[in-house]
Amino acid sequence: MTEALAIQGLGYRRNQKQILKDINLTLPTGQIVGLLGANGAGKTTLMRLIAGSAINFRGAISVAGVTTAPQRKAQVSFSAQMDGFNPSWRVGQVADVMTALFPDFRTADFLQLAQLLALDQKQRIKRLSKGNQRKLQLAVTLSRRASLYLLDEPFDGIDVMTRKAMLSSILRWTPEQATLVISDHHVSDIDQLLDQVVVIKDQTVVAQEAADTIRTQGQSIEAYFESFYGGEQHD
Amino acid sequence: MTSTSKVFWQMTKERVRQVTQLIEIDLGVIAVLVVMRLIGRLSSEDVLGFSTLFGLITVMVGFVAQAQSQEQVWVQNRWRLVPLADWKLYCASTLANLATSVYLWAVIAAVTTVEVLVSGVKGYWSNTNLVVLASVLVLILVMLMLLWTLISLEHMLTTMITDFLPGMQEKWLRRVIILVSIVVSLKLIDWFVDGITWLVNRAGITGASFNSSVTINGSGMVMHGTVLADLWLTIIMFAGAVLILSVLNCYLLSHWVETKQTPAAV
Amino acid sequence: MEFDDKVPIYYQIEQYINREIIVGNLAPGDQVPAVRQLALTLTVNVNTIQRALAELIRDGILVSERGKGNFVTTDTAVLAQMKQRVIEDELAETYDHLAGLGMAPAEMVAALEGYIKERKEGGSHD
Repeated sequence: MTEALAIQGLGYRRNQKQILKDINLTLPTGQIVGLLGANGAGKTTLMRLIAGSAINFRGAISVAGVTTAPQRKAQVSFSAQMDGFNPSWRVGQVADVMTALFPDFRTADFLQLAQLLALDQKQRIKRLSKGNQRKLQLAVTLSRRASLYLLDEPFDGIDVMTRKAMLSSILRWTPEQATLVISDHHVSDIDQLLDQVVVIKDQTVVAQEAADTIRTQGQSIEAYFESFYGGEQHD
Repeated sequence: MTSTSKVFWQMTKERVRQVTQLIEIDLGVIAVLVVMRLIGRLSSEDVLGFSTLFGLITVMVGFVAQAQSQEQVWVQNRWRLVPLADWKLYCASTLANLATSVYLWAVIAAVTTVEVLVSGVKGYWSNTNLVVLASVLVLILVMLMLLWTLISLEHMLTTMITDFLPGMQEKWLRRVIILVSIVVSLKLIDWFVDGITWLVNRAGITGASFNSSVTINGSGMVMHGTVLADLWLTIIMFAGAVLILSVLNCYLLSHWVETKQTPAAV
Repeated sequence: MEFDDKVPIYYQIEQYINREIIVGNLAPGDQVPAVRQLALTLTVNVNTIQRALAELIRDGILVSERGKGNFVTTDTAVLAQMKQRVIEDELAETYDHLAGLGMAPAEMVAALEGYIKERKEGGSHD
């Protein structure tokens, strides 16, 4: 079966600064992968490159075996795909717009997810609390049938109860053969869900390891991640 | 893969909704004018004059609103992440603007016509040649398209440059770049028009020769024939410019123009 | 369910299912909930559940029936061995903890007996 993601020799510059370099990364299908790195390490940039928001890169990116931008976009569901939605729209309207623009969007799934996450169909986006906006983003992202899901810091600023509901949603709604990549700089938010972790530091991938391997050595994933930062202070 | 027509319809729907709000404001203003006429503060001619003026203002604001909608398509994730080739996205947006404009003009024209008929003011429409009128409308449409294309080119070039150069946090630096790119683009257009004019002259095509080889209508239209031919020559020139610049825009869009990021993320 | 973050989760789930069997929540022959259901209930990855179940099947604690699902074995000998192993693990842990406090084996036995006696007598307020 083709890999969910295959990246070779990826490099990316912006404003004359090297943001990412020499990235080689392969992810199999059917896994939940944690993308770990300090604030500003390049996690979001990597997701933007995979999804197609960022386009001026060196190297090769393929998702589920396809490489051109429109094909990749059909295989990837990125949590940022709601950027630009009219804030006056209601939650229910969001589903209509998504259906028009994305043929793989499942309105029935979205309605169930919205209910699970306690989102009111009639609420306007601009009136949603930050937590509810994040929940809406998650519901939208998971309602598409994609091969690769990219969640960028989905639990940022989320309280414990909401996080539990969101974790449940992720488990329930990710298709079996799909791969899900979650970026977070607070590892403990997601660590019991992860099959493997990918650590980004110094503009490149410094480690890719199975969660079980790390724990078998008696180390928590959080400690493993922090070991890359030695005695440095980070967020 | 999303279909281009679905994207076109969604864009048109949203832009039409926006423009309808402008129309409502226009109607509101007209209502106020009519009331003032009824209480004798304005003459019929004045009402007509003001409302036509406001109709024009509405059309201009509509143009700006559509330009803004178009520019958002290039840099927002909600459009750029749609599984559709960038050039198709570009075409959908251009067509959506055209469709919205036609809708806006049709409504404003209808409203104005109603007003003219109701007010009974004579001599408003002199003997207008419908063919020439239609050609003028086409010319205006093509000119609008050229303007939108130029605005997009501007925007894309500035985005490219601000993504490429370091130290882009300074607002003044970004403004300077926008100014410079506008000046450069205008110069390019200038050269382009000069070039085409030179080509046309070399090929010996002038308005006059156009006229002699094309017979529009036997009786009394020959004079309009020249005007018509020149009109269409200009239309074709502008359309050519739109086409070439659009190809350039599509290239820039798929190779250089990236979406905006929310500030916190890297 | 809360997990120890330094031990592989699939292993902790194995332990969890073993304990469910020992205390009787899962009886011999009972069907184990479906993989996806377990994943949701315990809030862990489906792959993790699958690995845990695979290990339990390999150990003979669970039996997989094609098309039907996974069942607790009816082989009471295997289950008794498993219970023995779990008890031994608990004892080992207690032994290590008490030894770490510097207690000798005889002291440990005395302490445990004393504690059990006290628990029985003060039993009503639990």
